[in-house]
Amino acid sequence: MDNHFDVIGSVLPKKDGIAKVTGKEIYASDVELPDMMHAVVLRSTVAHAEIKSIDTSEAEAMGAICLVPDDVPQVYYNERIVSIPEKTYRDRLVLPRKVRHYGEAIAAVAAETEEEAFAAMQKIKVEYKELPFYTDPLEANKPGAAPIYESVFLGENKFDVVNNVACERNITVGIFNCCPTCGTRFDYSCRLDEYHCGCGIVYTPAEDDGKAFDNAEVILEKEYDLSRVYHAQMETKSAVCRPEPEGGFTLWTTTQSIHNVRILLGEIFSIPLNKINVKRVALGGGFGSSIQMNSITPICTALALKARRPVKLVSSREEDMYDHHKYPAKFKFKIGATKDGKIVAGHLTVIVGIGGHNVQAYPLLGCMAGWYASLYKFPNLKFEGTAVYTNQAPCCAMQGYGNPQVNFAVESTIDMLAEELGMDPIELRLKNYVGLGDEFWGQGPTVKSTIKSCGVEEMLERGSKMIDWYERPQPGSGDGNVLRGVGLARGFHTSGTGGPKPGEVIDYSSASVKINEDGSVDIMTPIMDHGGGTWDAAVKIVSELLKVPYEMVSLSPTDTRTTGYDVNTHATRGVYCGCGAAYHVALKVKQELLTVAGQFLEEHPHDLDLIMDKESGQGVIVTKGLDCKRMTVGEVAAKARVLSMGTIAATGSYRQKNCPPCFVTNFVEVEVDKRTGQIRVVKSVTLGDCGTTINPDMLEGQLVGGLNRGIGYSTLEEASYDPKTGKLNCEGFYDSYKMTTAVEMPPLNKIETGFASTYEPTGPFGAKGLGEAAVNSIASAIANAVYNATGVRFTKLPITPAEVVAALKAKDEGRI
Amino acid sequence: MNSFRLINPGSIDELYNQLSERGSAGRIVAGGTDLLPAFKKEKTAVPEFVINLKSISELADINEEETKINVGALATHAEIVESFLIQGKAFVLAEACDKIASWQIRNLATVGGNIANASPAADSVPALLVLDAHLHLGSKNGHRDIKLEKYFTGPGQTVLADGELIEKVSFSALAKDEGAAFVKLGKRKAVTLSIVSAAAYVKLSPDHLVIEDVRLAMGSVAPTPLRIKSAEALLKGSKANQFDRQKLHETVRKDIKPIKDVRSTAEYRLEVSAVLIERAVKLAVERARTAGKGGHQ
Ligand SMILES: Cc1cc2nc3c(=O)[nH]c(=O)nc-3n(C[C@H](O)[C@H](O)[C@H](O)COP(=O)(O)OP(=O)(O)OC[C@H]3O[C@@H](n4cnc5c(N)ncnc54)[C@H](O)[C@@H]3O)c2cc1C
Repeated sequence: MDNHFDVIGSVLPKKDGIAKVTGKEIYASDVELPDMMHAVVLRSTVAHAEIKSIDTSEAEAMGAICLVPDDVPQVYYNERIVSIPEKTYRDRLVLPRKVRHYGEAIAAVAAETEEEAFAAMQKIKVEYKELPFYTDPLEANKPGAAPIYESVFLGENKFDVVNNVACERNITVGIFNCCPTCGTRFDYSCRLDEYHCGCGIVYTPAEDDGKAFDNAEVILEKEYDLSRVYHAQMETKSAVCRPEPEGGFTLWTTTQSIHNVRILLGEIFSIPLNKINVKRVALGGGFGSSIQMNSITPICTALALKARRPVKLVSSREEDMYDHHKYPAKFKFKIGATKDGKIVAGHLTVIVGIGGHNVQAYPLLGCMAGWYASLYKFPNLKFEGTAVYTNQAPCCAMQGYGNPQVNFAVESTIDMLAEELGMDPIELRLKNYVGLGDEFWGQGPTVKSTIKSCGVEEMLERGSKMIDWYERPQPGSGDGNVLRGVGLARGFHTSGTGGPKPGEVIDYSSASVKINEDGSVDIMTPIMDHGGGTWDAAVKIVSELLKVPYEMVSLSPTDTRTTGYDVNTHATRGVYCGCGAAYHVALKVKQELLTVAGQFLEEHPHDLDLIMDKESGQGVIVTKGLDCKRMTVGEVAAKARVLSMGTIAATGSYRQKNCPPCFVTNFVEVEVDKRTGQIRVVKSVTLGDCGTTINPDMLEGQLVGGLNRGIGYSTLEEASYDPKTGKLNCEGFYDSYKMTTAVEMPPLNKIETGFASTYEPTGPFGAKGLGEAAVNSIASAIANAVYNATGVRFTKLPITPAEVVAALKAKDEGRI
Repeated sequence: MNSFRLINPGSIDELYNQLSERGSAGRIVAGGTDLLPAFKKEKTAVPEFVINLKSISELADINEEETKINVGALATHAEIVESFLIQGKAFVLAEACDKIASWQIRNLATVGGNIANASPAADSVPALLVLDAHLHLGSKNGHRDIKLEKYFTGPGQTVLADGELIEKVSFSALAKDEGAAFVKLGKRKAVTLSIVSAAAYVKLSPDHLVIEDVRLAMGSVAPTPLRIKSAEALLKGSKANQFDRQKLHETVRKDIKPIKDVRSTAEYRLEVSAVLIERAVKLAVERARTAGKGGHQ
């Protein structure tokens, strides 16, 4: 372990900091091109309907270019191509023939100005044949409900959709998948109503847990309900597309993966990839909402190709709110344990209303199973997940990808179990957590690895001191009108989707690194930075490795033409996987550098070392042991040029063979105003285990940001629908979609963060991820704290003041 | 959004002429923070003409005539919050305006617009109601004064006639032994409309032990902001630091008719209304006690 880092772990100015704070940074919506048209999208005003006709004649008479379903390639695609094709569900076209949710894009218009486009759009006449619609997955799932789809594709196979079920996933471990009588194993990957065992018994796996809970002395069964929320990333989805004279096009767009956008557009528009160039521009946050190609991106492309002119399309906030949400979830969770606190079995059932398109429900269900299986050791484990289409905005990953949802169900129940057992919640967690040497499901049941670094114990211990855990009140013991409580929850996320075996998820990244003729360094990476400092991490890692000072290392502007593939900045993989590739490529450059320097210094490369000379601002090659010969990196590169020896550079792709968990531990203190039901988080202790801290300030920002979103998720945010109209109840931020601002946060001196002292042996300089983990257990900790304060358990998110007042009243009146 | 013609009258007379001439084809805009979102969301029909008040600077005056305070309809919430006059002699109004929206909006939005928009959630209104404010309305045909309490007829509906506008709002400055306060409950602490709001004014006996006079008002609990008169009757004459909470609860409940909306439920509003009234009264009593001793009043 090398703790003598020159730049890793230092707080340094962000490479894009000045551009961002001075407003000079270029996001997709800032791109201006000569002869560019402006586009707007016509969105559905009904929730579920056949489109009978679209009349664009008046709009076209105004000089606008219109795009209707007949104009787009009839290619069914899935906007997210992170999973392998066989596990990818395809249900959508660039513009649909049938409306599946209010606000869905059904046509688009380009004109000389946005105003003209808007005016033309208003002249388009759409005739709908309206159909019954569903804003509740339980309703949509009922036999006889109007089908949102007749059929969709899984891989190349078309299949019929039954009861609006988009997909299911059933996973068992231990004796759940065994005959309760004779113990024979059976395959439970598809849901069986009845299982006829060879021994003669007929068994109903969906209802019967067999012998799995037989050894449990305490069994709890609880239900949880988590709302839909909106990503609320700062940048609304935007695209600018320029058709190129020689065919193909160039695209600037909001995305977390330039390469996946290119591949998809190549498939949809049947254009070879060498004729499509997707530029890497700054990303104004994503929270997962741009893992998939955004719905407006192919629309903008199709319009530009039709108009044969550059077209810009920028979503308004109100439109963006109809484009993507976080997956809501309804859970049933049964857990069994022995009296001394050993978990015996768990059975988690979830139903998810995924909205009008299946973006990634299948991997989501797998991941939910994985988050559940990796939180505590369940010798016997069963997971049943059902994803149901609804007539709502399509759901997609949002910070945690099912993890905050599962965490809420499990961590609330674990708290209840501890109480039931009369055991301290920390003790119960320590008895059962998945840690060092255990198996971790980083991305569902097919992407697993062994845990090699773990700060769980350290964080529980440190955090409990920082919050005075053992001094917390007895649940509901407070009097007066302001009740105080302390709660705890722990969680984790994966760092990327790598693993010893590729499984169902694609994961690798690429990078190029070259040493310039003065000893400075350029990095070419396809990875995107959500704003959390992934790019700075890449710079720091290369700088550290080549010992070239941070100021002398830069990121080149890149695009899909100049970089190798990267799957996505998702799954908390930016640093561990994306920068992992940069690390491995820089290793090759280091080797090459030492070889060339060896020739000049007449030394074997093995006998040379690199040091950072901050005074000269150069990396320096020195002889090992005794610093008797030296040459700066600049001198080596310059000499190599004069001698026509070539550029010291390398390019490569790299796949991480692990998916290490980044753990978090959250302690919060809340105050509940009994009379108004308001919950205030007055103190937070958030500890993260991300291995080596590459960008400590950014990491702290991630933890605090996660706290902020977690407070919103647990007490405030809800993208609820009006079941009568199929419209969102909120109309943009203005009206009622409220998020936590700075003033709802605990005071600055009561927001404490810290990092476990761990080192991930497989990560670049010992680093793993953190981003998504930052939010995963906040809501659980808050709910546990609210219980501690009030003695009332809330199992539905958000916990609204109205519900708190009603529940506390019921408690006082002895009704609960 | 449909387009409209923006008219910028140069004087108050021209303004009134424009208003009467344009009739129902014209609409007043002040800060535009209610009107433009309503246009955009198609909640309000876009008129042919939008008549801009902002150029008539005399309508933005905040001044004092003997014991009466006048606040011009065009005074922005930010100006009210920062006015020493309001802070010193009608702090409750500054307190309410300070809780409206965000800095950016308070810099644009006007008290006249807040009143005229007639939202049940207009935050300046409960404060003005407990100050027993009057509106000074003007039109081409002259002026009239009307009690603010009589101004609202329903959500978005008022007694304002065609061609008429609010010129200013007036009320008495608070004196010795008087205090007032405004409290609000929103989904969050800032940039949020009220789920429930409450304002209270009290006048204490010289020994500060008895509530001699009281006015209470609430927002977001009925079709319009309103006075809570039976609770006023209950508190009048009662001890300043000891009133019957249970009774207050029951009484307030009877005076309000909350509904469920995007912000909260009717039951919640019924539950918390008296809590807010109670908090406002307590604060008002405290302020009345320290009146003239450097505290807010
Ligand atoms: C994000 C956001 C948050 C908000 N938060 C709050 C809040 O917390 N509390 C709150 O109370 N309000 C809030 N509002 C609403 C709004 O800002 C206020 O009601 C504001 O005071 C309106 O004033 P204005 O000058 O902008 O009115 P305008 O929009 O210009 O006008 C509103 C209406 O009043 C009419 N009008 C304006 N002036 C006059 C006049 N002098 N005489 C007659 N009619 C007139 C107009 O014709 C129009 O019908 C919020 C608004 C936004 C956009």
